[in-house]
Amino acid sequence: MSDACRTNPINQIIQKGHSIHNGSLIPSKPTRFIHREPTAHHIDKGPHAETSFLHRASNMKSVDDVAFQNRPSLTSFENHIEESSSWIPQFSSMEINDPLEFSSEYKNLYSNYESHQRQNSSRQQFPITSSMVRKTASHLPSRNMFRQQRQENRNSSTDAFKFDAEFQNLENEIQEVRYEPIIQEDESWLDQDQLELQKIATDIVKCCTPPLSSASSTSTVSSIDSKLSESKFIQLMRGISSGDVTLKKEANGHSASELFSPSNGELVGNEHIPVENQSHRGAYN
Amino acid sequence: MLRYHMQGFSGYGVQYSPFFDNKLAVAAGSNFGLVGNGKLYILEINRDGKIEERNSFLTQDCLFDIAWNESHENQVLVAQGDGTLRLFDTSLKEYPIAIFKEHEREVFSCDWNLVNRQTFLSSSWDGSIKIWSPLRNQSLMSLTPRPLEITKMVDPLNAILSNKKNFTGISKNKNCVYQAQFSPHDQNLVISCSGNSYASLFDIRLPPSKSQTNFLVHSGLEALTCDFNKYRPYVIATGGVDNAVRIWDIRMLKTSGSATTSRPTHTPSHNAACINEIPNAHGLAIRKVTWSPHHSNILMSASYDMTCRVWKDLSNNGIKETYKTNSTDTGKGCLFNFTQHSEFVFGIDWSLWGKPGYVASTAWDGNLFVWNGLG
Repeated sequence: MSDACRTNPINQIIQKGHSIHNGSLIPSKPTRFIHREPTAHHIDKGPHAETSFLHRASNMKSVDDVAFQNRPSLTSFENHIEESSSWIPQFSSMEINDPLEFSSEYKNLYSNYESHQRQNSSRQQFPITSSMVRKTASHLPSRNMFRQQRQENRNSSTDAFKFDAEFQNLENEIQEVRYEPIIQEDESWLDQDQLELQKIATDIVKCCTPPLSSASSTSTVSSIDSKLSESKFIQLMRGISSGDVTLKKEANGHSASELFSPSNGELVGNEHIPVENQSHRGAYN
Repeated sequence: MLRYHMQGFSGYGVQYSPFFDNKLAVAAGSNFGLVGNGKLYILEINRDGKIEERNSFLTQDCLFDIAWNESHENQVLVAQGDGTLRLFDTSLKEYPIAIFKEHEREVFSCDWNLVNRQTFLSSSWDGSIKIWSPLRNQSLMSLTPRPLEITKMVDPLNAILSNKKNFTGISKNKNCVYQAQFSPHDQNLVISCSGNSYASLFDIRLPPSKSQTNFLVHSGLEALTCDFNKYRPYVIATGGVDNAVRIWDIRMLKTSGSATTSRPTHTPSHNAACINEIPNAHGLAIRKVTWSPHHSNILMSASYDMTCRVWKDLSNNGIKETYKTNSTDTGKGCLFNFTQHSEFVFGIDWSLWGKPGYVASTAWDGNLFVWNGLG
């Protein structure tokens, strides 16, 4: 067993207490860091305010010594600096050539894109602005149209938005891949109104499909997404988009007042009840 | 909170009766208003706190808006999808007492003049606003906001997309006048908002060439709703597809030159009248805004995000201007968020009666809710 292990801690405390009692804070054993040569810090031997307060004038010298003794050697540290400084210029001059690194132009564009994305939530604009999916409706300002508009404007204004435009195109492609309506093969019988309604419904479903990044979105957006996913209107739009539901044309072939399923001919939604276009004559005074 | 469910119909508009504290009228359409019948519900809140149907009228096409006759307690006007307005007497059955047909497309809004009580107006997808008297089958006046020129100026989308394949004409609803309203302070003032993102202020006393002032309100995206403040005659609120509610001071609009007679110009003066803004007031487009009838600085909004929210206009403390905006406030000045609807909320109205704060809302989920928006 080494001497260090045999050391009784109680004895050490007693020895320290004895040393303090004797008016000295010098450890009973000198440490390896003791360096007794005076340095610039200790050339001035004038009384230090803190030490004079703590230990009075009689202890001043010994306290200074302890403080000094416990410091690492400054000269040895300076030597280390001299040794290390020789390779710093060499290290700083090293270059890492990463063949996969993005170009500076790309980095600039991406930083612009990031700052832009922080400002504009992708779900700020909702295209369903009214009862627009009516039988004659082709007036739905689709989300993609708005995107195209923004992209075109940006392309003309600054090169920084080219990346944004490309990104939006990619995002659109991803969304299209995520939601591809199942178009029935016998859809050719659909007339112009029905096809138009189907197109509008597809746009609505696309814009209401939560983006891939919704997991990291805010709680407000996620609550909207959850509500949209449970919306019966969106479910109807999905049905129309996939061709499962469409307008039921009346005998004249021009107007429609009901929805139905082409696959089985069943009515979807409410049955239309004809109402005569008449009024209580003379009732208004 | 009180609830009434309209089986098979989606709510589009609701309004408290100006004569009875427990009576409401709701305009609704089947199949979410896409195709099919419409229905006018006359509802009453009984002493037990239940909402009961007192009368109803089935219509040939969907109903999009509603307005009580301010001079007759039993008459209700509805805006219908076939381009007609129909005036119903709630004491009768089945048919309306008058039909007003001039619009070529769906009629999206109707409003009764609160000052003279003798006229009402309608706004339509055909791009026109018409002023009517219930005594005449023909309209008294037709107003047309100048959308096309301005839209071409502010929105180069047409030019861009017209060169592309499969261009289907996105701007088909740019001319749609989503809402129009009489001023509650001046019987000759009308405000409207359109798909071209402009609000138009009309003074119907002036000749047509000078009667309107147009100003861009929602950054090129569709402006869906507008409302006059009930206490400050010069203040209006608008909402639109950019999810923002904006508050405007019409005294600051430039009435000469650009917006009326000559070609419009892109000058900052278009937006100089905006005195407050609630950006991202909702998660999706805002379908309806309406000022409180009891407070000059409280308004309510309804949205496609299926919520209704009550806001405090922080630019005014009820007495004077504070020069603050809601956009700088932590909660944006939101006082209450109503989340019970499960489809798009289209209709909201403040109760004129009892303790201030009670409101009615209706949505495409077929529900009518009566709730307290001020806690």
